[in-house]
Amino acid sequence: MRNLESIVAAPSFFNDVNEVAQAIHDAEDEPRAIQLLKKGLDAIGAEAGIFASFVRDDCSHESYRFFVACDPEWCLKYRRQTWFANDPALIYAAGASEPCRVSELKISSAGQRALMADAARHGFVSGCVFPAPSAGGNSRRGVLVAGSSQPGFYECYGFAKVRLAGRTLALELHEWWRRLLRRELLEEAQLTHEDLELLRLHQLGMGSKEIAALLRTTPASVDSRFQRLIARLGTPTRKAAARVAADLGII
Amino acid sequence: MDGTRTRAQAGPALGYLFVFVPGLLLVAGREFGADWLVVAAIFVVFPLLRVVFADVPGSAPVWTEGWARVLHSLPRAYAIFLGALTAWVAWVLGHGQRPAGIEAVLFGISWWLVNSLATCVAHELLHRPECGDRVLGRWLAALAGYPILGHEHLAHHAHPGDTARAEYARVGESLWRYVARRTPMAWIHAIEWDSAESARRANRWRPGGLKVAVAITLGTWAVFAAVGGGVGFVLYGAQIVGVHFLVQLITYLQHWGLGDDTLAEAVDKEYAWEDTCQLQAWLVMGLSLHQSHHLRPSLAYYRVAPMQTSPRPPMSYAWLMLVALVPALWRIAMLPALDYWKRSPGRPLSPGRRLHCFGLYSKA
Repeated sequence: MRNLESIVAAPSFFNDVNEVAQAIHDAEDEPRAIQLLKKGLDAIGAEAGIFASFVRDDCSHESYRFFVACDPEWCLKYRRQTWFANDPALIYAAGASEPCRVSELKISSAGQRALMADAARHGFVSGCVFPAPSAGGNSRRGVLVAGSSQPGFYECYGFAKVRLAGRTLALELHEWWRRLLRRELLEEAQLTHEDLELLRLHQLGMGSKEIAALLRTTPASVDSRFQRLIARLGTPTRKAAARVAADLGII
Repeated sequence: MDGTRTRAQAGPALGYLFVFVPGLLLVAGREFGADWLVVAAIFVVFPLLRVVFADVPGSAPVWTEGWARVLHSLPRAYAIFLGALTAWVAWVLGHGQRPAGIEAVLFGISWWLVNSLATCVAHELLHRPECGDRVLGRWLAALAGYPILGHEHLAHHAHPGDTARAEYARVGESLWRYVARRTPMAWIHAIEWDSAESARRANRWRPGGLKVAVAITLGTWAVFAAVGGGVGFVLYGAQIVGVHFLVQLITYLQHWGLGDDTLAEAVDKEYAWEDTCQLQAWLVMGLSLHQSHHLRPSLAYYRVAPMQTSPRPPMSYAWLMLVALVPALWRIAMLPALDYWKRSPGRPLSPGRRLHCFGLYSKA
């Protein structure tokens, strides 16, 4: 049986976690990133884990993305029951930045109690939550939830070191997702460097005339470019388009 | 160039003003003693206008920013319009020319159609990223008599293809069985969804919550009872029942036969019937392009285009609603369309300027 205190006492503990975090940064695709997630979870003593990336206040949950390293049957059930709409760990991560133990999460409904009970049956008897907020008021958040089937595994003093290590992993996974979503948006919306430049100039408060003067073109041409750009991004205005791009760190 | 494009887009943009027409016809009908106007428009005139307006274009227009702003504001304007219209109905029942007898029945049916179409506008607002628009959508649906739309609809999107939860109708299921099954489930799912949102926001009485929406519906009902007496009570009560029925009917039309009872990929593909009639799309704010909507729910109605491989119904929503009331007719109408789509998903059939697709399936 594994013991958290002995895991974090190992001289190579932080080194191992940092190596995984660096490898996540360089992961070229999802399968590789998931493989590294499993390795990272193992390094912090977890047997199961999930990483979720989502936009705060997204009522329809279109923005939710998951990496799962746990029982696939439970993952299917999690999705079918739409537990992501009521998950105490996601609710916590939407507003907090400090890691915490799963036992410290606020459980306020029968649905949440059912979710936690079911999670415990699938490897999350004891666990920790590592939020990964974004900088600059960005609305996309990330959260890593790590679990152990051993009761009280994360309730010991070793949690202090696991907090730091888990946070490192969570931040790298969050940044990995943001890079992927940026690439997806750039590909889907076929954004060019000129489009991004237009959005940046709009963010600086410039109107069509000023942008046209700067780019040595006409205001009508600038308007036309913005029309096509906001149509590709599916937003109503250039302000909303700039917000979408800024949220993903494209501008 | 921009002026030219602005003028060229005026027609397609102003077409969305059709959403106001049924409400205006309700008022005109009462004023001129022709309470049948809305019914005639929805079930006769609008379907026939397909020969004039034909299909939506294959891709959404690249709207000028001016038109995009106008179109984005249109649902908000409609919410104000419906509020004013509801107040007018209360005034008619309390102080104005109250309909009686057969006129009251026609007026009630016409008002029901207007309220049902209002849920399409509410649906658009529900999917917006702006919090204020989402709250407005929930209140609009509540005023129209269906306070659970904002919650059960998000649950519907979260469970695509799910026939056990009655999000999609089974292929062998009649409209009546589906409505009986779905109505209580829609309430249960709405309460669950609201409960989750309340937990997330630690506030059970937030403006966009289910309690507030139900309070709006019940409060409106109380107002109608107060100003219109027994007639007001019955009329608005009938709206609540009628709009509940119609929302489940529309869900039946949009997803019948496309669920996980017969299609293994139903959950991933989120299939839905798409009616490509231009006038229909204007009237329901793009809701008829339903598979596109499922795959990108937060895309604004004026940016939605039909999917090239979506299943297509053989006639307009209005006529399908009537056909669905008779299960045997429904199977005669829809089984060939479903069978055709399964055989040839890449070659969708649309009536174009014809009124229906019957006869096309046997030739295809």
